[in-house]
Amino acid sequence: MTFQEMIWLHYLLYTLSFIVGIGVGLTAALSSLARKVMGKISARTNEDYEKIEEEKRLVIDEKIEETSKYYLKLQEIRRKNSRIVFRKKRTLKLEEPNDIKHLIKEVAAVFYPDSPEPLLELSVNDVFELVKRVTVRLDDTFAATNLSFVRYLKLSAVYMTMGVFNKINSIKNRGIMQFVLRIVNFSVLVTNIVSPVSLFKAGTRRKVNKDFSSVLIESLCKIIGRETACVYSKNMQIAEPEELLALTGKAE
Amino acid sequence: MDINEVVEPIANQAPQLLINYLIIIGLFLLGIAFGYFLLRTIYAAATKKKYKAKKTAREVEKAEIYDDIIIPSVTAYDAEYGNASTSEKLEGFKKAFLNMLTNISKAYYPDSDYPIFEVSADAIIKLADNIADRINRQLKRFLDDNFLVKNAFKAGVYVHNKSKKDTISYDWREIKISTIKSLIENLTAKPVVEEQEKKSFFGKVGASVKALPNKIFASFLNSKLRELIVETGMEIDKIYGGSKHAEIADVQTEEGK
Repeated sequence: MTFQEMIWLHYLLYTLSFIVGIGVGLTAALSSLARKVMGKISARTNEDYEKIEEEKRLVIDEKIEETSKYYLKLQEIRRKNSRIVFRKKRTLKLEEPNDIKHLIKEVAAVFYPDSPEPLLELSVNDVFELVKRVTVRLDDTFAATNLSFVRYLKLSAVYMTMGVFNKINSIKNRGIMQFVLRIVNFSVLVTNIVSPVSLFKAGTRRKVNKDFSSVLIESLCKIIGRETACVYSKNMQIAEPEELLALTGKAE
Repeated sequence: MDINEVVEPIANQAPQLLINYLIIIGLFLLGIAFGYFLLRTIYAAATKKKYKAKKTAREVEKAEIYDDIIIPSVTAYDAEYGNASTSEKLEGFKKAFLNMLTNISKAYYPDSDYPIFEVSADAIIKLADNIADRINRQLKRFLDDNFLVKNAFKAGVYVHNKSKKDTISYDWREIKISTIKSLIENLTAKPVVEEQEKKSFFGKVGASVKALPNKIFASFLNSKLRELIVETGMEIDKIYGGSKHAEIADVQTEEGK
């Protein structure tokens, strides 16, 4: 290899390093923004949640943590699967998935332990209150992002983006692509072993990605679990007249 | 002693690899800082910009929606589910709702691949809220404002509370969904006709009386679901057609009453 070629190789490595750095920086910024937005969204939920008896809150928090752990474990497996070289893909084996649906049922059961169907222990009035509460809370969520376009973003755009992601995933899952990805993963693994710098970069990237997903998962589980607790504890006094008026005015 | 005299020999001796590593790590950290501030700047700029929804829906005559989509949906529901059981009626309502959603969205967005998704999440939430409000008004109109029904309901609750351990409230708003579910199951699950045939004259009369709530409930549900289909169609029209049709839809509902 001539000296000139070596120089170009170095420049390529420098550029790649800078680009990977930008990616990590973007994820770190997203993570910090997500934390800020989630904090704003959960502020009112927490305020209502504090009114529930402490004993019940402890049980609910435990259940929320279990669900968060379940999703974090799923995410970890997904991440490990994307880096596989030799072994087969792993799946999370659990008798009963500890998902959001399960969490909602469990939280409702805290308030109605003797009921065979705790989710149905709401009155007709509670259901209408619930719809109002969901409307107001989602409106809060849109407001918390501070981005006016989020409110008007068409679902078709979201649907199309999801379609693109699904297509990419289906391409990635094809046999030949899996083979290519395994080769890429192998070369990354070798580079990480040989070069401590690559190891440092990969470690930082992994840490930032993990932090981002944990912020999202933990906050979402907490908000959903606590909101469910507020609903089933009949602690739904969220729809103040001025609030609803402002909401209706805005929507029209 | 000059600092260069110390540093230069070390620098000369340091392997080229180490310098490269330092540059790579430096650029990586610089990239992180750049990416971080880039996104924060974009976010700050985006929060300042006020976005207004653009109306991209096609202009459609209100009569076109009402006559070509809503009324045929009600007719189709009548033909298929008019004499069906309660659970099938609810299934029929769901089918009519989906049918109207698909056709109304297609009428406003004929060129779109996903016409149902041509609205924002905000609009969908508003649609759910409005439909819940319509159901609330329907129930209120039927159970609170109608003297006969109001008292018949109270009598029914009295009879129920007298014979059962688990009492239910006289205010329909206070009744739990689980209770409503079990009541509906009790009303719809009994094979009334088969038992009735085996009994004597008085047994038949008794069975007819027992089957009365079922019949009243079925007829109530049928008429209410028909009204609800029309109202739901109008709400869907409001959401997909924008605010232009909102006032017209409200006037039509008032006329329907």
